[in-house]
Amino acid sequence: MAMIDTHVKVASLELKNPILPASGCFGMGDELLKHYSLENLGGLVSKAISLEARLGNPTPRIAEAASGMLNAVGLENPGLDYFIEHYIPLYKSFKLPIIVNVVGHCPDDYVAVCQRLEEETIDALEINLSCPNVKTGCMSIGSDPKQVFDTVSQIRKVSSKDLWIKLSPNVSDISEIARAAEAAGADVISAINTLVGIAVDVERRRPILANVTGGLSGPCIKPVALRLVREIRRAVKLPIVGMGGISDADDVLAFMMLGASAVEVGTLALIDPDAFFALPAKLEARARELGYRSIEEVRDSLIQ
Amino acid sequence: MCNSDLTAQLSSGHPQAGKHGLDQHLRLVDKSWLNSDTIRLRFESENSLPPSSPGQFYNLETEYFLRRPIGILSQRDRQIDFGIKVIGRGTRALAELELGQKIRALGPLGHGFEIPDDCEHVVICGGGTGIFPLHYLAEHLRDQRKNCRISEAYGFRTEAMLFHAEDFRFQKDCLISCDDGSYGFHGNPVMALEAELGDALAEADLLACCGPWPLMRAAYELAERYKIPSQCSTEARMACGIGLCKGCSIDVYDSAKSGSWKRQRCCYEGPVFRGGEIKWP
Repeated sequence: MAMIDTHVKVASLELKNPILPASGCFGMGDELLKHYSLENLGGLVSKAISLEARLGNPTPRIAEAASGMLNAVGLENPGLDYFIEHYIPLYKSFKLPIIVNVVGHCPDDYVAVCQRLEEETIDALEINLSCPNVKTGCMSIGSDPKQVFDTVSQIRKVSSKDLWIKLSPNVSDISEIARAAEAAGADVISAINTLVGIAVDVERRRPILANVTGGLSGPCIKPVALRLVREIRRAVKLPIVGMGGISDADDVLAFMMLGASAVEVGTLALIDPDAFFALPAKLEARARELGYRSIEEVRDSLIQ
Repeated sequence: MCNSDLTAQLSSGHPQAGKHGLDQHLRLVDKSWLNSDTIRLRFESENSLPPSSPGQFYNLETEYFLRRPIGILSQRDRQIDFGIKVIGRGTRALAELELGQKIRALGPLGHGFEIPDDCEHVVICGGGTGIFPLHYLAEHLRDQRKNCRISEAYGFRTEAMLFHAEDFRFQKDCLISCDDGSYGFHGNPVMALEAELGDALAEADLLACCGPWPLMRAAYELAERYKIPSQCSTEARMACGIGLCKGCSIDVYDSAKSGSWKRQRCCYEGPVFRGGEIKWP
């Protein structure tokens, strides 16, 4: 049987398939080149990039959970200048859409990074208003609709790129946050970031993570992520890039049935890179098996 | 990753052909306890294994969510050995694997020891499970560098913890120490090396070390006193083991900016770092 069309549209971007790596779970993008072909992916999402280089949190930064893991990396990255000089040229050579994930301590930081990236030939900005492992910016902005509106509005003024706003699940009403982003001129909602959690070493009577709390990811958060994607779908007209615990083709289909236009896959790449890179082909085969004529057709196809 | 690596990738247009992924499929063919809590597992691969260097590791699949990073003890053709100390549920699950059981293993991962071609005398210093990658290093040197002198010193807490197995033996001239003096040299392997070699240490070309942080620091300081280069194989709590999550950072001094430091991934830029690079905890 002929292969089905796997292209999807996400705002102004056309992706050859809906599978993207999730920011922070794909290193700087160059680690696996010897072993895997990045060309199979729908696009590339960068590690979170800040104006200045960041060292991240002290170690230990990783703890295991049931069907998942906690991380408290804290946005370690080489900073914007280094990123532009060393990584954007590399990313361009992959001939994939490039989505740069942006973080800042305050709205001015986000604006400064986005302003600099305006001149770069990248395709979209994913604005991280949701990292739970830092004290400033990110989740502290992203959990307040007014601050989300203000921050996205300010970025909108300086950037013509598609703005993907990455939201946190650690809020009482994600719809309200999504609506604030939409009203401020966002193009896409990315959801969800990790859930805040704690792991304890009972023998040492200490938290495992030096940061005490970390972000929970992996298959254990998928049901929560699916529920939140549905809420966002009902709250705003914007396309959604769904994520949270995706580990196989059926998980991708579930997010898309609930309204996601594309997905990001994170923790799977960490524990099973073979499976991660096989996902685009597996998705095509599975959608075809279920009778879809294209991947676009999967979106919103849930019977409710 | 250093800039030259990036540039090399760009200019080579990153190879497309011959990519087989990173997961090896291993079958357990032998297990032997080396002491009450440390076991050696011997696996055979279905296919030929990629070459590895001493200090590199594999991230071994268990029934739990994250894999467990374990240093290579030895590798011959399709056969690979790991020495594992049971310290938690993941390592216990590995120790309880039954002969014939199959697991997936990502690797070989990380950067191992780098032994300069003109090395004539390598001093090896290890403690606990840190002994395993060093045992591999010594084996490799004996095999590949016939003219290189090797001085090995391995430390244990007490005599009962010494590694014993039919086919796992230390060389006759290897220095064994116990912290409590119950066997061999009374003290740690750093002290044993200094007592045995004395000023000959200054003539050595490299000190290679792996073990608990305090031991590695003492080994590094010994190397500094005798003005010889050192390399230390570090350890950190990891998730991916392949450089993606940045979970396992190690603080290292930034050679580009004097006095300042940066973080590098134990799994990717490491686990072996030069002693002088490490910002000792």
